[in-house]
Parts: sequence; structure tokens; C-alpha cells
Amino acid sequence: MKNFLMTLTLFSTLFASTHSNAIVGATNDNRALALTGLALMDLSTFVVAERRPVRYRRGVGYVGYTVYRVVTLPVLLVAGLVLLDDNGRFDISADITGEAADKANLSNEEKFALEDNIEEVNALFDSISMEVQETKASKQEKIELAKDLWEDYSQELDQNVMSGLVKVLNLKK
Amino acid sequence: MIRILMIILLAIFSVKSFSQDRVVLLTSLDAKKNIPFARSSSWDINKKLEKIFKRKLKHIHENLVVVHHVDKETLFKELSNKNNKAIFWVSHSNGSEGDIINNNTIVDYRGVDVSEVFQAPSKGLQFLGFVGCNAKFLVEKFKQLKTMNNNENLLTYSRAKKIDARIGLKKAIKSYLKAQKNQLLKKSNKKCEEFQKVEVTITRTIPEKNSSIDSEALSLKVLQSGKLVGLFPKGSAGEVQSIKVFLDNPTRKNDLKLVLDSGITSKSVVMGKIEFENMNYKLFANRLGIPFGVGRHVFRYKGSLDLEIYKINKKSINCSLEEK
Repeated sequence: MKNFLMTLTLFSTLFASTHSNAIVGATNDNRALALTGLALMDLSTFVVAERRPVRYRRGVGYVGYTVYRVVTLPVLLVAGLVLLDDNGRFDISADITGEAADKANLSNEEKFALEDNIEEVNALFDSISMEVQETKASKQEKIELAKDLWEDYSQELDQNVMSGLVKVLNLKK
Repeated sequence: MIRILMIILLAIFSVKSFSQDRVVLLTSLDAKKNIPFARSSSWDINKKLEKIFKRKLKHIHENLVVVHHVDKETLFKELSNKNNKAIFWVSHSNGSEGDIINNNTIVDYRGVDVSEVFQAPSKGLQFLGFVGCNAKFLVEKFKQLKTMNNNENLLTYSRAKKIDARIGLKKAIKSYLKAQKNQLLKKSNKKCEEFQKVEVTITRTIPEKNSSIDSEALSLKVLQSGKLVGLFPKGSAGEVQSIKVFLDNPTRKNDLKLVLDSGITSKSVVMGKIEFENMNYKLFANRLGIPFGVGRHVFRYKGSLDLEIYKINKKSINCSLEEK
């Protein structure tokens, strides 16, 4: 009985709701979906080389490597450790090595356009992630929405930016 | 004889009390979200870290200072404090080597990215310990950007792997004590150098009424090509804030592009109305004028590159932002 009570007490502390000071922001899952939509832009031109199955709690979904890479797992609290891995925002970077640029068949115009407009790309990324988050739909529908939004919003940018970005993202698969 | 002894004791006491050098522990962790498995809800990571810090450094002569729940502004203030000899920072962070997905972030206890604030420590700082997962990648990136160079002798501690808060802090302290023992902690020998900069005054007007109860005018980083050039403080409804920033000399208009970033993608962030005195900047927005970006906005420079009247000689290398 004593053991049972102790176990019960232990579990009650585990599941007790706690107040948090965090600001509600776009989740990384939704940023990942927005990125998948971006990678899917203009697939007629850029072939997705490889897709990997990813296991979710509720089954198996087929998503691109990019999603697999950027989904941030929740903070692991195991064995008395407080691991300091982050669940903060991730961005798109213009740090593309010469080797990666060659592999992606990136033209100089695309590389420079990407470098010059990376701040704008991340602003679009914020807006699209937020719209994806606020839409109640399935993951596949959210990816489609993200793709449409990227196509729409990217008209504000030099066309070399998006073509370069899609090439580099698809290279990572 | 007694008088002489008293004077000597008083002098020793004064030296100890008024020693201005500080060793500072800054933590930014939400205690409620960082309780390890099988611990009670009253378990507080911040208290545990403070205890470790005070115990491990009880023999040193410098004043020990502990600040919890540090945000961008407090971090900026502490990094700019010339009396701070060493700073240990503990928070969640992430990083990886050069990649199209940039996850190099250091977040505060509310999930706000504070990473760029670390770019401008004072020249008095001799040791900076980053206790957070994969923080080493970010430190390397800042060195590539040629930031964090106010003290050319600044030693940093960071790891390129996942770490536990308490173990990480102990290791960082050990690294600091070892550097002190080996006399590796040094002040800067350089003097401030003057560089030509473009002076820009930016005004932020926060609306009288916020759109929702959760709305908050967080402090905003002002970034030029990823470099921190200024910081707007937190604001309240109706407040008008004005700051001067000094930009690197441009060769193209794109070099003058500025990003105002709260550090979090959240609709609850109130950016306010941003205006640039005498400079033609345009907010990156759609055709209806709705800005792109959530919690951060991009301002593109549309004026002339003939900026001679705005150019000014400013102390740059070896001076923190506040010293400029």
C-alpha cells in the first residue's frame, strides 16, 4: 500500500500542470511544414531525389528529409538531467558552400540573390509559418497551403531567390 | 597600536568590499519547465545552479553576482558592464555547422532568441561561459562575423554537444578556474579605434491600445547583415522610443538593410511604428502594405548612397555598443 501511494504521488507530480512564462509563438512543427511547402514548389523542374518514412505516434507519414532534420524534439528530462537543448526558432540561412552550390547546380545569380534577400526570405517564412499554424487542416493540406503561400508571396522577390532556394532545399533530401 | 591595527583591518575590509570586479551567473530558464524526471514541482533548477556557482567560486576575490530570468536587455547591460570579469550564461540553445537550416539560437526563459546580444561584450570581459547545447557553433559563427572581439584575449567556454545544466556549469567554472590558475585571463591591450560609420536615428512608437491582452512590446534587436547595431528596450502602450545606431559604411544599398527582431515568431509581439530620421527606408510588405514577418520586420534602404552628411567617426573595434 505504501509503495502504491508513493508511486501515485510520484506520478501526480509528473502530470501536474505547470505555469509557464513562455510566449506563444509559431511552433517548429509548423515552420517545418512551411519549409516542406517551399521544397515542393515547382516540382516539375526539381525532382525530389529521396523521401524517407518518418514514424509518428499515430502511424507512419511520408515526408521529406528536410522535415525530418528540422523537427525539434521536446526537451528531454531524463535521469535527473536538465538538458539544455533548445526549442527556439530556426531560420533559413544563405551560408551555402561552393560544393553545395555546385551540387545543387546553383547559378551565380541565384546564389547572390539568395544572399542578398535572406532577411526577406525569413520574414516570408515567419508569415507563412504563422498562417500554416492558424489553419485547421491536415498536415498534407498545410503543406499544400504553404506551397501556395510561398508561390504567392515570393512574387515580391527576385525570381532567382526562390529558384535557388528550392534547388538547395531539394539537394538536402 | 590598536589604532594602527584597526586602520589596517579597515583598509583590508574596504579593498574586499569595494573590489569592483564581478563574476556573474546569468540564468534564463523557466523553472517550471525544467524539472527532471521524478522530482517534485517545487524543484528549482535556478536555485540549484546558484548553489553550485556560489559553492565552486567561494574562494575567489571577485564579487559573485547571480541574476535569474535574464532577458535581452539585462543580458545586454551585463555584457556591457566593464566591471564584469567573467560571465556564465545558462539557457537552452542549439546549433549546427553551416547549413541552409540555421538553428543557431540561444533562447531566454520565454523562448525568445537572444543570440545576437552576445556579439558586443565589453572590453573588460575576460571569460564568457556558454552553458547550453551546441553553443559552440554559434560562438564560431560570431567569430567568423568578427564580432565578440572587443577583448582580443576573451576566453570562451562552449560545447558542440548536448549538455546538462548543472554538469555544464560545473565544467565551465572548472575551465574558468583553470584559466585563472594558468594566468590566461587577460584584459584587452588594444585601444578603441575609430571607424567611419553612418549615423541613423530610429524612432519606435508603440500604439496606445494593444490588439490583445497578450500583446507585449518586447525589446527589439536592430541588425545589419546579422550584426547587432542597436537594441530597443521593452516598451509600454503609448511610449515613444528613440535610439541612434551606427551602421557599417555601405558599398551598396543592400548593405544598409536593417532587421528589427524581437527574437520570436509570435503575433503577441507589438513591433510599433518604426521611423528613420531623414533616411528613406521602406518596410518589406505586401501590396496592401501588410508587413511580412511576425515578430520581426525588414526595412530596405531606398535612398541615395551619397550619405556624406550622415557619416561620422565612431569608436568601433574594442568598444562595446554602449561605449560608442
